[in-house]
Amino acid sequence: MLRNQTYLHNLKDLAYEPGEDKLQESSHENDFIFEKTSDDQIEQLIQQNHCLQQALEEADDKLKETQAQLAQAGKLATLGTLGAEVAHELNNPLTVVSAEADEIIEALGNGNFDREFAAISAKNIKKYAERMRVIIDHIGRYSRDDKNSAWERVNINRPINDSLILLKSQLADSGISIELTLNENLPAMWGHTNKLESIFQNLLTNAADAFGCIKDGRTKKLLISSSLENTNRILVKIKDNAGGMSKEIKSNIFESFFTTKAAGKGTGLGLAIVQNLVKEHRGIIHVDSQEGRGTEFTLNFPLERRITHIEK
Amino acid sequence: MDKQKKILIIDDEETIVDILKRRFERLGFMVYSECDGAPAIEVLKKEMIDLVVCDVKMPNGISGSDVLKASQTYNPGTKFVAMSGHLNSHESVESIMKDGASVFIKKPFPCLTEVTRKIASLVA
Repeated sequence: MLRNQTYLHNLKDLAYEPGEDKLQESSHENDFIFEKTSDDQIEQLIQQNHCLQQALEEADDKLKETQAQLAQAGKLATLGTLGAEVAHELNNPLTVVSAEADEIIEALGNGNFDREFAAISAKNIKKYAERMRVIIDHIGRYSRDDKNSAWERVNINRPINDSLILLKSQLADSGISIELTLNENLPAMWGHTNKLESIFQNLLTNAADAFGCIKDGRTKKLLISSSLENTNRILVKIKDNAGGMSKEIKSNIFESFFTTKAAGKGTGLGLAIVQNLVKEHRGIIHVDSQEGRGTEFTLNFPLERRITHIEK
Repeated sequence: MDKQKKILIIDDEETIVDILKRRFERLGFMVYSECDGAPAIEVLKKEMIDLVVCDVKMPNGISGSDVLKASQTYNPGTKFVAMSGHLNSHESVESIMKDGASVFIKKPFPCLTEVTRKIASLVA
């Protein structure tokens, strides 16, 4: 009791503000306690707290919904800009399929049907039709609404490789060489394949665009690596030797609608979406950039969903 | 064909090169083929080529335009056929035609027989 009284005195001292009169001490011991709260007031406070919590949950749901819509919009925008590349990716195998079919038709027509040559043509038709199937299947999976696909155990190398299906030709055509150093023995992490692929699709498209203004004849290189850190985290690095960025640009890159690309080229959503998707995986994204020399994005994901800090 | 004509085929898709190679060999050409611009330019430096069939967009930094320029430098008068499967390549097509390509052919080919005959007729 004596200890409680001392404590309450201290509380009273804390309640004293400069310029105010000191709280008057009462002769009654219980009056040292702040104004007694009635049961009704407690009930009212509980209800207010409940309402605030509900409002917070609703706001959180709306935020998540908006983020999902933003991610989907950004993904479709990426698909839009990739449209011409997709057409090119399909046109090459289609050229083979159509030309090999012409070979067989002509051989059948002029009576020079050679089984060996026909077998080569048929095998090529099958092989390139399969390549088109993979591309079309990939676009279908990528453009699908993420709500319909699930979180699962994912080997990070798969979304990295999948994101290159559509981009490798674009990168190669722009003279960019890709160096992949993927650790083949990585454990699967808890993740969402489509969302992870969106992350890499966006980062690689950005890197390709960054090389667009490089005219000094340097060898354009894009290094992509995956590795294990401290047995419980996955590390992915995407490094280019393009023009890099200034400190000012670097400090804004994760802001929505911030873009340095020409009008109509960038949506300004790419990196904002990337950051959201990394957060959804409880991951961390870090960017290191040197103006004139290049940029490196480091992604750090926990293997498990619940780990929220990096263990050193 | 009085004298065997030499044709150089360049495309980064190896099977397309193989298909065109088979066809032009049947049409009596001596065929040189490459899947990359840089070695194709080396061929142009060494051989007197009559006809070049080249993809416009290729990886590793050497484009169809670069091959066209090399062709004009080392094999002046050589007919140059540009090919592309890119939808957004209007600018590069216009540019390569302006630079002196004889014909542009869009991939996929509507009919392989017609396309190869049309190309062959350029040096008939």
